[in-house]
Amino acid sequence: MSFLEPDAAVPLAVRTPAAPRRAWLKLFRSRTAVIGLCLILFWVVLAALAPFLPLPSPTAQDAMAMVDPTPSAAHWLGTDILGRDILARLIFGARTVLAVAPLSVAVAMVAGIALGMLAGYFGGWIEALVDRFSDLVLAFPVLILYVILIANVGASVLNIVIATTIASAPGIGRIVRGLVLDLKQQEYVAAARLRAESTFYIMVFELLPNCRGPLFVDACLRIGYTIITIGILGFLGLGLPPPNPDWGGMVRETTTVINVWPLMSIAPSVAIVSLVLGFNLLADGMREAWKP
Amino acid sequence: MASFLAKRLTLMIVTMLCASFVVFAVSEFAPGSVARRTLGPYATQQQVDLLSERMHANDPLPLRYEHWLGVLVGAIPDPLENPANGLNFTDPRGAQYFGNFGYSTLYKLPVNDVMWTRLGHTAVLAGIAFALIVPLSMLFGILSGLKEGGVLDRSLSVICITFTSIPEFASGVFLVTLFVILWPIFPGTSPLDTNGGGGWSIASQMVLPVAVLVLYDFGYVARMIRVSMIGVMEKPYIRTAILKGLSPRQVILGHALRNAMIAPFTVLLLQLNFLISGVVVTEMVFAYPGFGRMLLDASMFGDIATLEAATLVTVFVAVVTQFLGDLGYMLLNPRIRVR
Repeated sequence: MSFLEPDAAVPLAVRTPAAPRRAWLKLFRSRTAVIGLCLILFWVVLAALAPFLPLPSPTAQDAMAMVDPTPSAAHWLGTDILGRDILARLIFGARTVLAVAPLSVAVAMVAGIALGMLAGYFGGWIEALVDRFSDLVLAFPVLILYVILIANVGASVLNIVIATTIASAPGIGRIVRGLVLDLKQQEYVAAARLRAESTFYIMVFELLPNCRGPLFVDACLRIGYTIITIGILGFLGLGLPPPNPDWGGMVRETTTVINVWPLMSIAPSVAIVSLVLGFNLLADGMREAWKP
Repeated sequence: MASFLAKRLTLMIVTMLCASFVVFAVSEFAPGSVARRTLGPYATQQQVDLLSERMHANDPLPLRYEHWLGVLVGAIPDPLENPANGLNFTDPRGAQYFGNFGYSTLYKLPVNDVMWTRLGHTAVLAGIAFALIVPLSMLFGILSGLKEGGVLDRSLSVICITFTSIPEFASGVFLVTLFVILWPIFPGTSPLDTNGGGGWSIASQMVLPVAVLVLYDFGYVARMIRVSMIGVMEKPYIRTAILKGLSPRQVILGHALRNAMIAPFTVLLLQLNFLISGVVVTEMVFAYPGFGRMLLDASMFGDIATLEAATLVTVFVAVVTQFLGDLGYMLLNPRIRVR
């Protein structure tokens, strides 16, 4: 099979490792992507450094501040109704969001990619089965699924991950299936088949790396959307149980006093918008930079 | 066409059955018994046990699901409305009829009396929002799709991305701060009741909830229209139209628009679906007595009858909008025919 070797080697050589590096460099030339990345990094750095920053505990109540919860030297963004430092709660809240949202999207991605690969590569009854299942899930309103599940089972990281996976996997599967239908006609896939590579190898090492671009974009958008969902759950009172400071929950607790101290509600709202905006801008930058 | 319709109808019924069963199964995990929640904390254990037995609340899950289905299609009377319970739960339509969603233990009214009013309120809210989302997103999408990567495209895109990044509760907070606190021209709550709303007219109560929905949703739709518009503007027939000397207005309205709206048509219709079932947050922010809040309250309270009814309605809306989307797609694009 030596005559096949050069053909099979060419795309591999192009793909690794120079191509990814060039793709990432291209990304840094996009202004939207850089702004988005900065917004995300801002929160990631704050969240990572949270225990080392000179911040009051996010759950400690300052009785003096409860009299006048507006910003002061001790509390830069003021305190909430219970006298807890808002800045500390924002930064510690970022830890929860930045752990749960990417984790749930990662799990949903694995499930969605598996579904899409199977449907796209094999076609036939597998595709029909995955399709019916997707129709079923996509017809079910997502937010209602979350509300029903979380209201009855209780909020936990695991439940949020499960709900996100069920709701997102079919959408991801559709994207992957579309890409695979196209990619499996490529010569390097035929070459891999001729080399008698296993189906699993072809899926993971030949097809998956070539789905990379659209999947990165989709993952970014989904992380942003999951952050919104976690915020909504917190706002509806279905968020992670206390003492976890949670941005949506912070808005919920303070809307009753918004007439007097609007900053208590505005601060967590701005935090959530800035982080979601970061992911959405990054996704847009990727799409622009990696356009074929 | 007939087989297409039949397929969709089957899908709808299967989805409804699956969804209602899932809701049934999930509410198994809710703490406390249904009878206890219905009777309240002061009822004796005997009363609770008696009602549990009458409601068949101790039967296994599939059997109870079958009961619920039986009540729904009118095969058996609703056990909750049995006068022997002494709960005074009576439905003016009788205890046994087709479409009996049962009795809401939360509102102490037949579900049919609660749900349709609530759905009506939400439909008004969603209808106004939809009527604004369509032209606004078309304007933004078409303008930014005219020249991909141009200054106009980039600025409009960033505006759209920014608005889609603001969750409804956050834009609620921003709008309330601006227009209720700093410049009080609108009320902060919308109970749809001129007496309770502090003398604000119904129209002024609608402004902020509608604004929240439009702001959150229009950017997403505009992005979809933009992508489609870009695709159309690259087509040879557009170049031909420009080269034969048509004005930009004729090119855009006469040649590009219809083709550019084919793909986003489905997306637009799916927004109806989002607006009916996704308004929970907006309704919470403004205390709007709508469908979403009813659903949230019912699931928090464990009011399974209301919850099931609401689930069926949302699935129905979802499947119907999907169907209308496909239908419109075929009408707009004569190349697609049903098989």
